[in-house]
Amino acid sequence: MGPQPLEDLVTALARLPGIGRKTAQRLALYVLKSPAQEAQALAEAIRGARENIGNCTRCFNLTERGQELCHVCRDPNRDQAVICVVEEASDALALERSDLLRGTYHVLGGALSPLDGIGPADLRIDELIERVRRDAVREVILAHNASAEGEATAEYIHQRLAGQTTVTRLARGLPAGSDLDLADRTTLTHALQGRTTFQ
Amino acid sequence: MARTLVKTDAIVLRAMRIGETSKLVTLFTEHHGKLKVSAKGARRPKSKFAGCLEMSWLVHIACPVRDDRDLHTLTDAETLRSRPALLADLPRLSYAAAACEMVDRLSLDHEPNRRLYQCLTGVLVGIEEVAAVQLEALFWYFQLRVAEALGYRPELSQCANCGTAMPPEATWFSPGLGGSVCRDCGRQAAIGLEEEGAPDYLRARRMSAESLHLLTYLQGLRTYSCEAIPAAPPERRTEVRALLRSFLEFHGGTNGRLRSLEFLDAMGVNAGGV
Repeated sequence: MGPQPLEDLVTALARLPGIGRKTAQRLALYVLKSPAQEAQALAEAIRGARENIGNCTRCFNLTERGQELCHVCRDPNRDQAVICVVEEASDALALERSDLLRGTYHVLGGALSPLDGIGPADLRIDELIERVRRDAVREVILAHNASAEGEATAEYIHQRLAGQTTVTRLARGLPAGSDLDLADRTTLTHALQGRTTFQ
Repeated sequence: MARTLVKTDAIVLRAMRIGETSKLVTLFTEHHGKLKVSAKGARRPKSKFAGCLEMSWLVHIACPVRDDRDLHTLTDAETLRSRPALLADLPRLSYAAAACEMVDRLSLDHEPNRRLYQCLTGVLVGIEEVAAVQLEALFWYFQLRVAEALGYRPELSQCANCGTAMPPEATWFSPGLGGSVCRDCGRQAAIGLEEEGAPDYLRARRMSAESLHLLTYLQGLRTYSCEAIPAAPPERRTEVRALLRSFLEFHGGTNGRLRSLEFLDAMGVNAGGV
């Protein structure tokens, strides 16, 4: 048992996802050893992010508070007629890393889950439908997790958008660098069904 | 402590995210009952568990099981039967979720129940293949079979309280007394509980002759076949649904109350028929 402020810091850090008490203690001791300005900057960064991040009113992605639209929706080089639908803002960040998508996003806030009681009314599906109607959207790309909940959500949105716009989805198949003989049956089925012609 | 390497087929009852990349999975097996396992790294694209631990799927697993532990570590899993038809149909997915949720809530860890396992595997096949109008009746059949497999078979042929043969006209159903009851016993049970201010699921309810006939028919089906399941009659849905839910809530307590069914109610699927 150390001094109370140290204990408080360890307890606070241990609440973060993926951080156990031992790692929290290591991080806390690092903060104590680091220069005062560095610790102060960390505290300021946490406070600033918490206080100054909100949701984009159009796509519900993360944006700076005070800005109505996020940096993607504000970007004039982005194609506003293409919407990539994701479950969480973290999925949009992952897709941004690919640097390929020139359209915009729509963050649903989760996936349909009967076991958790999460229905269409709990997600931003109506807002998506409204956006497609209002903005003459040309293509909706469904980028859901490859789970039962993700697939069910994609199917539901596909049905709701039927006849209104082109609906596409991310390809399913072998992950880069993996061996074919170690792939599971479901992945191989998707890979075969989604095979493409050599360009 | 005894440690056994279990290699068996299992139905995935539930898969939840834990940590950054793992899943906490509840499995139901024929010979080892319900097992809770952690599938480490299962959400990574290159994981050996990727694409096989989805709710309602039949998988073959390998897992060292220790008697003194509640949570085990999954070492291998392979898909034996995926259920793509469920993913394209939200009502079917919801009924499959309700079936898995019911088994999860009403069964205990490490307690095998072969009949319950067979009920679950059968209903999951049924949910994929019956017509949309048969879905709810199939689920009622499943609820009756689950009650039977757990030792709570509701009495429908005679009064569960006094043993007199049930008349062909409308009668009563009492979860507390164990099934259908004659007019006199039903009235007494209803009055007694009203005075005590008992919870809703304990209350004896009126049951129409058509609902009694339907439930008796479903209870009499020994094995599932798609042709034998009738379409759920729209005018009887509310009544039969309430009877079976109250019966399972009486025996399972809060565990008998299923979120998946509440989800279907909220979606309006149950109200208007599928």
